[in-house]
Amino acid sequence: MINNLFIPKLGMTMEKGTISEWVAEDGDQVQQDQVVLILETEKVAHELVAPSAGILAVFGKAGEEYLCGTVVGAVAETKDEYDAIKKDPAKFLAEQGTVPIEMLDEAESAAASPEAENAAPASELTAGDQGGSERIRISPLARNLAKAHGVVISTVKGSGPGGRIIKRDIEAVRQKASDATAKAPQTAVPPAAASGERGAGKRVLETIPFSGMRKSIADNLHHSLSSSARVTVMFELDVTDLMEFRSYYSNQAGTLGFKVTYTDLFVLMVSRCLKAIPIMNSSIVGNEIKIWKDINIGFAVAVKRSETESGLVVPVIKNTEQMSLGDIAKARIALMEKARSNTLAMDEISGGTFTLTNTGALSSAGWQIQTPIMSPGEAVVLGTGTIVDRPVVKNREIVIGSIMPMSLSFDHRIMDGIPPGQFMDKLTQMATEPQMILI
Amino acid sequence: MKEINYWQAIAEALAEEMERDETVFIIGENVQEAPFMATRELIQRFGPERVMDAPLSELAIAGATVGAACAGYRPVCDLNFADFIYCAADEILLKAAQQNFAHAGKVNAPCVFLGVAGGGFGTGPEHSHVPSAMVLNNPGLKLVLPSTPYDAKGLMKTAIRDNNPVCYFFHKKLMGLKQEIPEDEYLIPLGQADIKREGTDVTVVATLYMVHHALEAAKQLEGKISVEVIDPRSLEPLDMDTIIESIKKTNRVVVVDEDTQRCGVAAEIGQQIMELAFDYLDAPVARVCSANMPVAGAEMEKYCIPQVEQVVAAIQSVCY
Repeated sequence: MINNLFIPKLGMTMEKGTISEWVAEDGDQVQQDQVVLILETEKVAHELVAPSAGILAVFGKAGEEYLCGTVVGAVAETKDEYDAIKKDPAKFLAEQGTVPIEMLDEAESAAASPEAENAAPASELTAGDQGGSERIRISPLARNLAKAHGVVISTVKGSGPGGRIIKRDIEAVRQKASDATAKAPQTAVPPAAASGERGAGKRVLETIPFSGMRKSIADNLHHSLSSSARVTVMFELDVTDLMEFRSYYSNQAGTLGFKVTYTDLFVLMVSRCLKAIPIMNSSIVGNEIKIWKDINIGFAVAVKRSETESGLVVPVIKNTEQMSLGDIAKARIALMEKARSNTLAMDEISGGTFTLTNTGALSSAGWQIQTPIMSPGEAVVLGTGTIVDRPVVKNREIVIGSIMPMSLSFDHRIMDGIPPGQFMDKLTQMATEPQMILI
Repeated sequence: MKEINYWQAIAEALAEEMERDETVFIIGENVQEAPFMATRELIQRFGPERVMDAPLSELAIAGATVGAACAGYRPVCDLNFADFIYCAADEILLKAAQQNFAHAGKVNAPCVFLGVAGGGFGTGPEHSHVPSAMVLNNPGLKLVLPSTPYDAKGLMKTAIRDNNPVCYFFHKKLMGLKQEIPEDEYLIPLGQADIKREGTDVTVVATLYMVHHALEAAKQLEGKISVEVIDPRSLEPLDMDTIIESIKKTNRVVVVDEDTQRCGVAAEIGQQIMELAFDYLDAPVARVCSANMPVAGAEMEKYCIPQVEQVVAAIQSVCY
């Protein structure tokens, strides 16, 4: 028996995955559920386990990016099978083809977390979650195919005797999925709710599929929120001088060839702060806290994918610790462009170490305090609100000041209050006296 | 090529081997007249010392066979009906089978036990068996079951040259079956299955006359179900590899065997399929065997031994 190892689809928008490293080597004897490779995705490193015990055959290369569903390895039960695969890997891979992405979607919930994965066999055996208690009847071959292609059998209707699921039924599901892929663009608009439709006793106005980008964002945020100890500290920045500082560059836009935005300024200032307070630029990896040398700042951008699908992407400007304000602005402009045209590559939305989210323009009423959620795997997120003119006390006099509300969320698992406090001090110093940015 | 029938193929193999090796001789019941043809006309060529009629005691004939084999001969023991193996059980199942084992590999018993097997003529409960399971249940014996003239000749020659005791059962209903075979000498190794018909939807494993039932069923189902027919040709050694390869393609299997169903050949092959190819099965393994009852004679026989309609029905039952 040969079981394939393929790039799983871990989020609705995930189309590719990069092999970070093979933990087990080609020819190794592996146990079922033993971690054999680390997959890098837009969210986090994901561990792939051996689907069965046997000899590992490695096809995918570390550092290479593969489409979801691509077979990157296989576990052969016997030496003969292993030898047969290795004799002509190209032929073997050609025979395997790729696993249709839609099938992976169905398996996603089961594969998303190790706990769910372990629980999967139980839910495959019983349809208990659908309210029934009957055992699912399925032929060994069909079960094997379903496993190989990530088809959740509790959703498959069997056409064999007594409703037994057979090979034909699994193939029908795969066929349906590949047909759906072909038709996807035309069917993206959800039909208006039939008049009189009700849900839980309430009248339905419209039904929007909770899928695609929305689902991906939901998964990301929920994962972050449920796996961190978030604390949000709110403070205000008097950006009167920073505005003046920025207007200088705005006036020079013609000469420079680009416009400097508050985002650019904050990317620069935050980079300086992170360099001074390295613990703010870190992640928990396993049982260690990794403090990153690279400072990669992500900034949230609202995008519209289609009529019905809109959401957020977080392009990442890499190694901002080495960049000038101009470099940052140019990088930001390029990424924004790609975000709007939906052409961001995986490595342009991954690898972040800190995230900025600017909600200042979302409401003319003035977006004040908020409790932003860290990007998964990051320790800190900084939310900036709407600049409002307010009376402030300066030198014991009341003057008009331009105030930007700030919300700084950090992972209390990694740090206590001192680093965020230092970060606030340093940021405040630079924002109120922009000359300090240059120091 | 030349056309030859089933019994002529066996007789030709015997003659060629007797010609080739003077330690080969035939002993048995009425082998000089040869009511079942297999030894026909050998007496004229090789004389009564090498085509030896024996008194009608199967135990004595088999005992002489085993003794001669141990002494360096390669006897072919013709018991006429395969059913008569029961009379000679001690010599065949215990002595011949275990000789090599009991003497720590120092003594071989190279011999062939020839018997005509199976139903089809309504010959009743003592003349219609294919006692395969009993042979297989006694390790040390090989078992050859030819279904065509080509196989009958090639397998007989190999059986005679084998250094172990080989039971060679040929089928009453196949006697007149004709086939073109090569002019030149050929041998067929034991333990090498033959794909009698290629197909993609279901694998039917069968031996002896059941191969022809399977082929007939395949013909009747043509255009609806594509049937692959595999004839293992010998059940010990048994070529499971070919069977498994076929199942990997078809995912469905029917085992047809003329021996009694209970604890029979089909049960053994079915179990091995389950052990070796469980993950390739899309339907349970089906079997068609003789009923768990004595084989009735005359008109009632057809209710006891497998019929083509049963094979068709079994194929349909797994091709849902």
